[in-house]
Amino acid sequence: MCIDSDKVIVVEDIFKEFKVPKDDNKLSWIKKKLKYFYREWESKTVVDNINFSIKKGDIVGYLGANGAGKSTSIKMLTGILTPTSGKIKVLNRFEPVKDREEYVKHIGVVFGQRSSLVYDIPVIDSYNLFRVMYEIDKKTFEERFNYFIKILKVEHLINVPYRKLSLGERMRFEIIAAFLHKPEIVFLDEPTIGLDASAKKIVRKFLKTINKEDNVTIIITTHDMDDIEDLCKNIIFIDKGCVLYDGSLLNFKKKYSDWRTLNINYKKIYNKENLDNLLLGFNSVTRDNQNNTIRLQVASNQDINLFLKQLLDVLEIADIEIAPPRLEDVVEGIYEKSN
Amino acid sequence: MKNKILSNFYELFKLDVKKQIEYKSAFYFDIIASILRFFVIKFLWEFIFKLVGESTIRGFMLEEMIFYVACSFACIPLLRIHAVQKVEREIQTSKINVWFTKPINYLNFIKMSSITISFFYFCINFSFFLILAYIFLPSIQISILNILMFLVMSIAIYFVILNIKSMVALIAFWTTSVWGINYFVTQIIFVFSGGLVPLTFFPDNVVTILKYLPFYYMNYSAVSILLFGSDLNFFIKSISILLIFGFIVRLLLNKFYKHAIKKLDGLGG
Repeated sequence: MCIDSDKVIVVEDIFKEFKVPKDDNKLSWIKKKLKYFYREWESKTVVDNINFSIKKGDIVGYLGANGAGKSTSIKMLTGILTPTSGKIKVLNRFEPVKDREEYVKHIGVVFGQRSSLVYDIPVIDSYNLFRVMYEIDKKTFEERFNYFIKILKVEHLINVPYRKLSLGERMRFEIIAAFLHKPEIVFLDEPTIGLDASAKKIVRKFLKTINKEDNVTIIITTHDMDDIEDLCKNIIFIDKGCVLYDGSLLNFKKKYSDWRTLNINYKKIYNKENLDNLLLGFNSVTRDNQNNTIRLQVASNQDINLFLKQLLDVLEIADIEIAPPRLEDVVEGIYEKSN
Repeated sequence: MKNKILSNFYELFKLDVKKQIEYKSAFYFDIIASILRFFVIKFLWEFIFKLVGESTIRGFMLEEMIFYVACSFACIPLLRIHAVQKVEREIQTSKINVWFTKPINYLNFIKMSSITISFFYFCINFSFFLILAYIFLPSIQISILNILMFLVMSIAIYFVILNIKSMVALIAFWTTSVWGINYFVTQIIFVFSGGLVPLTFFPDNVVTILKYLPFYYMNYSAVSILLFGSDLNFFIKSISILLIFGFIVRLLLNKFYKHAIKKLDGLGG
């Protein structure tokens, strides 16, 4: 394996398959009847020979549809799952599964739907346990902890039992737990799931700050494309267990979208029938009659001048904006094609 | 390294005690249940002795029998190893993934958690049992030495049970649920170590077999030592057998753990 000191994660040909019960339809009549006593298993490939590398200090979006293999690959990168084959080298010296106990001291992990803090007792008690686990000296612990609770605005909650916290407050404490021991890499699996807009904003601001201050590498998997647009310059897109794209977010949009988004705000419709006919030729048209807005995708090769001329004949336009494609729309397009 | 394990254990111990105290009602109801259980055992055996019309049954007088059975039940927290439910639940909810990203040995971690909870409830149950025995079983006189020997035996017994039950817990890496296996193992240990009735109730050939296994030296020997005292030789022999068996199980457990973690499939996204 070729090691580049600039790269903190190097993944070569990792492959993972699970044994799953055979589909009922593939079983013979007698085996179907006996399925409660006897099960036949088959192999299912979840991650199919993926390769990528991640540079130090990057915030990388790790994207893909449900079941694409994102979480499985994150679990292999964090040392939870053993790859069926392939090599992973992290921080130029660790093999996640083999060196797990030493390796995890250098990483932080947030599983958005699983808590690492103890449910029944005040959060500060869980952090005291983590301090001992990660062998953080008291002074450093107090400095970092106090700094983090201030940025994430949870100072007043440290003595509240975890179970009594809201989803947003819990997530902020989970994030603190992941960064407390000054890790070199942090894996965030859906860190903003279920959070309101304000909590998301606070979390994103924190991640940007800590990335800059500690030069920590962050790998983030999420279905919230606003997180990705706000935080990541680079993304890795996984589809059906394979890497579909690995590169900059900007190029991803260019590569997988051949349209622009046109946001139109109008005052009055002169001719509804003509407008309907005009919009028929476009994909993904969203009309909001209450707010007098229309959003539609215009293909890159489509003559936008001609369209605007035709539009002026049927509408009185108040405002118009030509925007680059939203990541969410690009990703949605890929999911649709893939399905 | 040892220092780190001890610090981890101390923090976990504090955390687990806090967790138990957080739910005060469970703590109080456990005390009430232990008192209630004492009286149920007392009335049941008084009735049996009256029915049989003998002053001793299988070598035990009435108050000795009540003491023996009630003490065996007070020791049940040593059998209830929290690790089993913890591992099973954490595999089912995939919370186990979180612990695998912490710099700990998961096996040691679950054992540490179990020790606190078992001893917390053992202390409560056993203290209340001693108070009730002192008040309601006046003919029973137990010395401090007997109590000390019993407590040392309890630690050795716990060492064996903890390793056996941790092995049961690890089966969850393959089967996801171990409720049935755990229940089966608990009953086997409880019955064959003389938890339900003294081993003098069992046929002689069964007792002979049990003497080649750790069962004979678990509950039956420990409670008998508390009740009747013991010569030093038998005490040392019991402790040695328990420790040897415990170490063998521990060795197997460590091997088993290495296989188990490879089976982890980290259920769900």
